[in-house]
Amino acid sequence: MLPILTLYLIIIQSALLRLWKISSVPPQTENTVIILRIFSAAAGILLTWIVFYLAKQFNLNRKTALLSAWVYSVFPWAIEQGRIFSSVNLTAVVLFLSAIFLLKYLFKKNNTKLILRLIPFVFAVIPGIWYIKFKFLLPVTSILNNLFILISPNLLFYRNITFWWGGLKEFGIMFLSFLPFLITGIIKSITGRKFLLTSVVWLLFFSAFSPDFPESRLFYLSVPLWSVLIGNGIAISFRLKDKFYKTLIICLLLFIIYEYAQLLHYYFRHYPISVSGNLDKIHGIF
Amino acid sequence: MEFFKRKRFTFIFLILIFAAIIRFYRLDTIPGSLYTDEANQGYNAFSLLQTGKDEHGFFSPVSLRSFGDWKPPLQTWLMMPFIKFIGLTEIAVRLPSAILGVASVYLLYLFIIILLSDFKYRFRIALLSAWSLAVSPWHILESRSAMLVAVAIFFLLLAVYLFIKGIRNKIYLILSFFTFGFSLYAYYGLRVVAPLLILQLLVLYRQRFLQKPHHLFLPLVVLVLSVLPLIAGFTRNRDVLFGRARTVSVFYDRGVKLKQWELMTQDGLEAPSIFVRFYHNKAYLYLRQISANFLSHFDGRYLFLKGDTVQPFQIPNTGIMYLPDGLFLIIGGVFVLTGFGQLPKKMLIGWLIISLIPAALTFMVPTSNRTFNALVPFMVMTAAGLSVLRNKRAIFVISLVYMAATGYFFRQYFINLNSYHSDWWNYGWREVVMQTAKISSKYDNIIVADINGMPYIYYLFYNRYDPGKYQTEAIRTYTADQFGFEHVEGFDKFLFPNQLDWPQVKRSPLKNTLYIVPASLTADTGFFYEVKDPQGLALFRFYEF
Repeated sequence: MLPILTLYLIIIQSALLRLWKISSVPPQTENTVIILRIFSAAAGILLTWIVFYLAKQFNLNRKTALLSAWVYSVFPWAIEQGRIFSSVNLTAVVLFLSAIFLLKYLFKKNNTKLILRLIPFVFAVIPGIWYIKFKFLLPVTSILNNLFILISPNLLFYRNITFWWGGLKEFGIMFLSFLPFLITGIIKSITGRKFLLTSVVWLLFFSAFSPDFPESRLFYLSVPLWSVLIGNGIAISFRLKDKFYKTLIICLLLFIIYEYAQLLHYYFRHYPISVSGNLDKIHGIF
Repeated sequence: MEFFKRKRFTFIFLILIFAAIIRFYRLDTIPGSLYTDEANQGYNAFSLLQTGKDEHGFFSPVSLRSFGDWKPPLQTWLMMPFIKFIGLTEIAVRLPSAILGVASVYLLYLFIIILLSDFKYRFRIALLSAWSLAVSPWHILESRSAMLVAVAIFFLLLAVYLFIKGIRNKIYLILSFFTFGFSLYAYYGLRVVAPLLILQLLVLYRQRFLQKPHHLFLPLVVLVLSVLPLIAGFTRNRDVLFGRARTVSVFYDRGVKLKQWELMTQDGLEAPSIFVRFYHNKAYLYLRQISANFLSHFDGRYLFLKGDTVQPFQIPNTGIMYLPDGLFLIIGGVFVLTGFGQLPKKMLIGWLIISLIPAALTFMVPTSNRTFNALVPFMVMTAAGLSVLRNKRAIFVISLVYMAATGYFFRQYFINLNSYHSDWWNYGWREVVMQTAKISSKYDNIIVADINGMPYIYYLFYNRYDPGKYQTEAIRTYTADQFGFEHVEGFDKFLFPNQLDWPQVKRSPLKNTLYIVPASLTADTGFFYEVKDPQGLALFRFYEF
């Protein structure tokens, strides 16, 4: 009963973060359609729930799944994309809903290895087409450059440049305080849940091939997976017995709360000011 | 017995030969010219040999005032015997770095063997670490120039190696603490790194020292004695210890303060002050800035594609590590965290974190020079990553990939750096000085525009100018520019105006005066001599009116 209640609370929090003042923050452009923003917010709320089930599909326990869902709900990039019309946010819902059903089927059939081998081919199709079509725009060094930008600490923790005129540039994709938990989650998944990490790596390559990099924001599709990795990292850290590490983790958790407060303040107070000067430069539905 | 253990002496011998060839091959001409800092240290070593004083006339200084940046003196001291026997030449200036660069390769090999003493594959990892360091673009660049850090890393590595040996033999512990103290004279960054590494080592081996605390007494006395001259110098002038640290510090840069002001202004006067301080306080903003600086050193573009973008630490279109290193660095990092014992793991991770701290506190990041000590954990992690390869076919393929990567780097460093980017190393001054020497007797004044580096030092260096005479003749105002550098106004018949107004000079030139002006400052014809770079582009022009 308690986990379900917690999940509801997380989803309510997610809804509040995505819907509160949605018509005014960020400010509207002449192309803004409020109902589409609400669609996007709904997708973000649904994704919070999806992340919970996704984590469970990776055989993570309920506590870890809840932590993953909470991490997704407060992810700076997910909040930013959940409050504007974002096709990639809607794509993420379809992709991960499909992934949950696929995983459910695959793990039951126990043919994970086959799927792991097939994934590269599936994911290689679109980048392959891009590369053939735009190969003069995308030499190998550009792809490598894109790849390194995507995993650069600057993009991950300090400055999200994937939506130059309308984005929340003063924050990274995630909070800095997530870093130790992310490392823990990655190491754990290297030794255990390779499928999770393989998916992140493939989304990474997939995004780096995009001719519209970084504005295509394809890397956003990996946010639910990052959330699971971080959630797992937090759950593992809770199990540590050493007093020194326990103190360190408590400090980090306090810092997460402080960064969360910083995000909320910046998003609702300063972000509208910074975006309002660029409204004429934002094309498409915002 | 393991293959690598049986053949280790052959392997390390071959690695050292290769490391030496790469480091000594055309040492005087690649990079194509002495950088100002190199020329300065060379001339100061010459000055100390001749007069016992540096260029400023300070007797036996523990920090060289130099261009106002107060250089640590160890590298200059090491140049003295070479200058004594070879003369004041490029090769004498660069030899200490190159020799200690090769020695560092061997030292790293020894360090890994002793650090991983209980580990089955220690010889394999030690040899791969030595090989990685021997062919490392980062290490080759630094050990072929007199930029302090190649010497610094040798002494730091030696100190840590002796410390681990000292756990069993007290004499080594005394030597270790002396070397730690001595290393503080090698590079500013070590004044942060070395104490933190000592602290880390004491914590890691705390059981041993808690049992026998008296074992630390003598080493600590030796440490204090070895840094005493530095402390004495600091009491007279605080720049002796901190040098230019203030002007490159993150706290000196106004970026963070301006950001805070902008955000507080946006909050408006009506916002409660406690609320504004909670969100926009300096502690949080500086924490973000310093952590961003710290983490910028893990950016793949910096490590594997572009490298350091500050001259002269650039290698054209090359990272400071090889591209395939990226993969093995990750594998090795995970291996170190999960497969190594607690002590080596903590040692290497701690070393890596500590090495990046000095650079994180400055605003010019990422920087390969200030983080050079991170090379040790980076190389060991790469080697650990490579050591997991067992399949012969995979080893063959990876070897081919590395051969291609190394070949590319060699072409970029040994050919393209001089051919296309000679300006990064202030190319041209040698020819300018030689040409000036031929015709100087015809003029009453020689005016050299102080634009590219510090031209006075090249005149002193290449003319082997009598240091005693220079110390009495030098005209200095000791006024630092915005970057903390002090310029020399002139000596003898030479003048080095910092902001030469060329149009004004042409309107009212001095009679019987030679003007030497960078080509970037004037496109005027009428010059009678021109110094060009290897591509044929004009660098300096000689005028007389």
